[in-house]
Amino acid sequence: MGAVMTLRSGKGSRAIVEVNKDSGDFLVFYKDTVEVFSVDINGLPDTTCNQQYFYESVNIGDIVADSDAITPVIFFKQQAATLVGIYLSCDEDKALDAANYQTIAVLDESANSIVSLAWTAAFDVDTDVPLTMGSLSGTHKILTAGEHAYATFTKTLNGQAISGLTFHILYTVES
Amino acid sequence: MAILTFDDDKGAGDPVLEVLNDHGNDIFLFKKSGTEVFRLNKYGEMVSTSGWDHRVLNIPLGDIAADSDAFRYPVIISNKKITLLTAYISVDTTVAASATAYQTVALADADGNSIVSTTTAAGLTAKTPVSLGTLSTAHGILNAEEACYLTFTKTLTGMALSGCVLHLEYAVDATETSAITAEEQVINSLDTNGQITSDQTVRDHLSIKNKDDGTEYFNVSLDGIVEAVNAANRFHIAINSAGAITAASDDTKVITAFRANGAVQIDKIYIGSYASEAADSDADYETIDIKKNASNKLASISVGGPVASGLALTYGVYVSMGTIEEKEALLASGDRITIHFTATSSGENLAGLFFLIVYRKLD
Repeated sequence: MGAVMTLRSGKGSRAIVEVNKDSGDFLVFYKDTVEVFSVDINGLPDTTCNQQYFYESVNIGDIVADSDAITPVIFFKQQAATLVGIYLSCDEDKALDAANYQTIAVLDESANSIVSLAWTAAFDVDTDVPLTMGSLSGTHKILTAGEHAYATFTKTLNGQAISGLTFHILYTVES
Repeated sequence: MAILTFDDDKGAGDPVLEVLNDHGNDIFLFKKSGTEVFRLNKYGEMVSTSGWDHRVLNIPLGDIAADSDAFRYPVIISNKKITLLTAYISVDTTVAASATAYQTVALADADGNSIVSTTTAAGLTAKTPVSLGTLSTAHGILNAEEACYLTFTKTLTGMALSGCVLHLEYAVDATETSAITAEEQVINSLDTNGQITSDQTVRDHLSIKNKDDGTEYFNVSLDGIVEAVNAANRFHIAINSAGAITAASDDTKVITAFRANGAVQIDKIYIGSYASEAADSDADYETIDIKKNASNKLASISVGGPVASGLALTYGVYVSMGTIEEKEALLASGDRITIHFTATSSGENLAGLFFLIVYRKLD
């Protein structure tokens, strides 16, 4: 049957298809009326597939039992981004402890909570996949250009040391 | 209303829009009010001025001692040419200003040329990234397999920095710059709808092929999955700051360095350290295994020995861990990359390790 439209080029230096406009998308592809790919007015390619997600592994090292005073920056990007998921892992087995533990929070630059988790559960480094911190705040997970996110640690009772704490951060880029 | 609309439910196996090209043309050039914001070049590289092109790495360096002059922190290496865009540092605990005792923080390319340098004399406030300054346009461009490193040089007694993180932004360079020089509107519309739209139930949306031999090098599938087989910017980087490894505790330590979201392919893994490590012992050395999840080995090296086959680490330099085990290189969504350490005899204490993973997204 062949393509609906075929453009053949072997000469010239100009683009094959050039669009100059002031607003709206340049290019939109739908699958049975549902958008699956576009290029918006700011040149941002956007797809509904996994290629839309960007990933960061941020290993901040060992957390001592009382780490209430530290506030490491774990995400910083010069362009707008939306955090999609944050997961935790450590590099040595961590025991279940419902009495002594860390509450780990991720906050935006204005100290609004994006997500918080009381990490009481055990973690087996051989078998456990990174632990989700849970649903992110619909409002505060959206970071403006140049806005950063940081982590805090709040001990309960004696707290709990965590070896090789790593944040696994999934995000999308905004236009 | 779009200018070009394709609405079709027939023709499986053939794309809607097929471009056959063997010349220097960009395939698409999109301008916003006359300024280029997106182009798809003949290599299948989507080049965008949006944040999509700006990759970011937040690299924890750990605690920086007041005297850290002896160390070089490996920062980044890429299998493709990249341009560093911005560099910031942050700390997890506020440190006061000192006009006499501070650190000079310097980013340098593999030849030692300065990319950017600044001091911490003004102090640092917790959870507040500070720019290292404007990056050198000459040395901030790193060729494929060219590394760069970070140093801290004390003035007087130096300045200790707690929980230091380097925030680095870079872009993968397009294989060529745009050939377009003239200003001309080929297609324009005043409304806000997509200018080229395609609504399909069976066909791929777009296929770009070599005009002469038909080799496909760019495709947007029915589901919107982009496949760009030759594009430099299809590769992504993740870095894990593993920190110090002591031989005494190595059996218990398993680092989860990467978590796949969607299907990915691992292409290369590099290792670096902020302190040099010679391969100088046939008796005591450390074996480092990279595994998919916790069992399937992708790569393995020995550090500290054996003399004939062990890997020597030079501070500030990333080195390849060798060929990836091909059958383990494909990760499904949720799969992990883990790092394992095994001591031979007394093993080896390793300072400040970093692992860099090059991967591409498949779905």
